[in-house]
Amino acid sequence: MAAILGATPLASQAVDYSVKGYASFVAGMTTDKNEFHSNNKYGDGVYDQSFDFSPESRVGLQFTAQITDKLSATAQVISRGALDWKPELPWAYLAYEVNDNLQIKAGRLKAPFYMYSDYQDIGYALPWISPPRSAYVVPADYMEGVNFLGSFSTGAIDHTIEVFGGIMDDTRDSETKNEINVDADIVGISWTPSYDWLSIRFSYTEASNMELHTPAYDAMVPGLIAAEAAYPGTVAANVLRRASLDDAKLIFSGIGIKADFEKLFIIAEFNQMDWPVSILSHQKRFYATAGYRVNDKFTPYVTFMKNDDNPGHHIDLDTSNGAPQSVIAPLNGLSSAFSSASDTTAWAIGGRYDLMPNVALKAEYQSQSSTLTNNSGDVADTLRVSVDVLF
Amino acid sequence: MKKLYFAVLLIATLFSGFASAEVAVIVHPSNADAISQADISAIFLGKKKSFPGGSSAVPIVLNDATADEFNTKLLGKSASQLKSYWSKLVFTGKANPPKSVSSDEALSLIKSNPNMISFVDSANVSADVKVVGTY
Repeated sequence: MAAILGATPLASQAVDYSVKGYASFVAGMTTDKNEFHSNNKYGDGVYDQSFDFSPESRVGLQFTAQITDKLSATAQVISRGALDWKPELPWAYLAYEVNDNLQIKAGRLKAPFYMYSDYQDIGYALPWISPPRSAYVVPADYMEGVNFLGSFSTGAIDHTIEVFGGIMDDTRDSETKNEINVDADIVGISWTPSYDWLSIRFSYTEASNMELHTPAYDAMVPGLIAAEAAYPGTVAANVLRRASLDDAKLIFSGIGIKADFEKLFIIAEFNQMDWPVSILSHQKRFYATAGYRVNDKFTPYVTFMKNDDNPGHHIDLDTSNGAPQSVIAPLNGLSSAFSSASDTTAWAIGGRYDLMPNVALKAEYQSQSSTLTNNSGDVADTLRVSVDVLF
Repeated sequence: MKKLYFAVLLIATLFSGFASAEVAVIVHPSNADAISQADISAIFLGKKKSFPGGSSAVPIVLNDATADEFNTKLLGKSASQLKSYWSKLVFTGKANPPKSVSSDEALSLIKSNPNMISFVDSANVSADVKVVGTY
């Protein structure tokens, strides 16, 4: 009781500490021979035909110290099965409430690419077991920087504007997929007007001066440089520039919609990733979910997902430029590895059951089909169940 | 089938019977603002941090069954939906849920704090708080 009253602004000036947590225990398996890569960032979270508990299960703990009415310090630790339960620190920041309409956070934060990025790990807060897999594909989002969160109203419409910027330094640590190291300057803005039952989120994020490293690419760099030196002025030089993952630039833009008609609700997102120079694929990802609250406890849903990825600035080299086949072949191989086209559709059917006020049970069956297996290797039929808790 | 239907109807009637208590939204007697249902909802969901008159508003919620009544009638959310709503804000550092106390504690906090707003079962309202609405 003392703690509760101590937390009210009037009661005392002492620092108020709180610890809150969440956990999701997810188990699943594929019902065909393919593997399902449950997350593009935590690359080892892979389901196969045997029932497995580790790919997506996770536990998070958040520590907050309310230093004054306006200033607080927060750290959040997450431990995931996909990373052998090794703890991560996605959030560690100071937050300052400038006034009722503006909050500034500074420190280690997540870059909010998607509508659900911020609380993607809080299974309890999601209608699904995880956001639609083929739509949530950015493999890096931890950053050090600042985030401004503003809110205001115009008549019956409430607006939220989020502006963030910083240095992204994130690694996809994986044994089953390419390791990726991303180092980039990142800035982004999102605007979310909402009116009663309808909320729309527009977002734009730019990552520049990006250094993207994978072991396969790094191993080829000396060969590329040698090719450029040996055959100056040929297309090889041009390809080298486009193939270079140093100084790459990413433009990410998206629209998200939530429409809530009390019983029926609809969630949809369309996001696209463009690489203005590089050979990496241009990705257009869409999903829509329709859910229905049958009663206070049971909420079934269906989801439809569509990918439309086009090759980036891909150039097929031939020997007409003077470069020998031994130089061209690896260049073309690299180009196609990073710049695959794919046209994938998927659907999922699932449901949430609110067992207790802080415990939700979920189940989902997902089926995917593709004209071309893309890099994410997410073409499989998968059955998953989860228990999401808050504590 | 008819028996099942009857049983469902009976249970539904019982539950709606339990849920018929009235909720009184209360503030300090000195608070002279006209506070609408929309204002109450916005304050308790952390969307507004001040009363219509401009002074700061601190919501206090209850830890008993009256809270479910309040959540359904004024916020339009079930207990799980409300937990979900706050967990999004809490774990992204955007806002914190109101403090939760007993009915007696709510009454004593409200009578001594002009910036607070709470609610109690309308049968429990005391003379030293002001009722701004009954739902």
